[in-house]
Amino acid sequence: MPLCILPWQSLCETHLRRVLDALDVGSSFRADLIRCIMLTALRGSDHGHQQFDMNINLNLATAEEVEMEDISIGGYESDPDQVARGVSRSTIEKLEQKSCSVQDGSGCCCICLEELNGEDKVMEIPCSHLFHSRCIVKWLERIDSCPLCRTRVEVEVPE
Amino acid sequence: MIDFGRVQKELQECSKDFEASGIKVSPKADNLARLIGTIPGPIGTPYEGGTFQIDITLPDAYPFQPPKMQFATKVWHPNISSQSGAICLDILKDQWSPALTLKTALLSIQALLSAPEPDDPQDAVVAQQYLKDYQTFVGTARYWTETFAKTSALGVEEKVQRLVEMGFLESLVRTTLDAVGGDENLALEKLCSA
Repeated sequence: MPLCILPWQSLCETHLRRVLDALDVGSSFRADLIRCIMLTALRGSDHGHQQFDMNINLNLATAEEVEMEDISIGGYESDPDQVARGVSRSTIEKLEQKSCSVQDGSGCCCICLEELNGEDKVMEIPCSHLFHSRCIVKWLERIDSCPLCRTRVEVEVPE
Repeated sequence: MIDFGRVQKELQECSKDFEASGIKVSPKADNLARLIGTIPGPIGTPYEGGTFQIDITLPDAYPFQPPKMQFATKVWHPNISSQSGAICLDILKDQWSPALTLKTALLSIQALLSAPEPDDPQDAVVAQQYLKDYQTFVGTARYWTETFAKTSALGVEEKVQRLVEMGFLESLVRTTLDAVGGDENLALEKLCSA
């Protein structure tokens, strides 16, 4: 990258984005990478260099590494895979219709670790495990299996 | 938003049965989103006798997303990066369930220390050595345990004594040392800024 374009930030970004696009780098990671590259470039220009070549070794061997990378540069939101694995809205609605209250002492909701008591709306999912409605719905929106036994929460819920 | 009520409960549960499990979780700072876990090396493995510290960061959606865990103590194991401490363990990724807790996750990591899976490596160099030259692997793993997983535990009393001699309260010294994972300099810094 020619350092003379450095003062024009948007020009640099466009240039880098084009390079990184060709390498199929994900958009969230790309923004951070561009920032890193530009910072390094700015430091280089302080030393009077006119041009620089950068070898970037991206070791993306595992998801773990990528996640750790994300912590250090600050981003990390929901995992798109997980969203895709959630239960459909209609199934959740059907389960919600059946949710009811239970007697005190029915045990503990393993999601929030609070007791299931008479005041709470409790949902029983097809494998018979009980949770607070508000807790299990949040999970089922992400993943379509029971937190305790991993049984898939079927799409067809018996009426 | 992290369910801090649950995190509090987990911390209490964990400290209650520390005697039995040997597993400890304590907050690093006061915000509960960053914690440090401690697991003893399993008996009968090259990690025996070591105390391993694990950096824990809770994502916003915890417990609906897995906690991020990474070894802070250097460890030689096929499924743990010898460089970064990153852990290759399914329950910390797509097999996470909100029915798991920080303690059960740390127990799983302890189990991983006992039962490496070199066919699904995090550290290719270690995994190669494990598969091709098991004796050398055991030697290296044991050496790393001696070198990196024992120092902080061994010197604790001396560190406590030195810091107490500087005029800090012993109880405060102990909790501070604990919070920073036994690093004397960090503890001193914290004590001075408190």
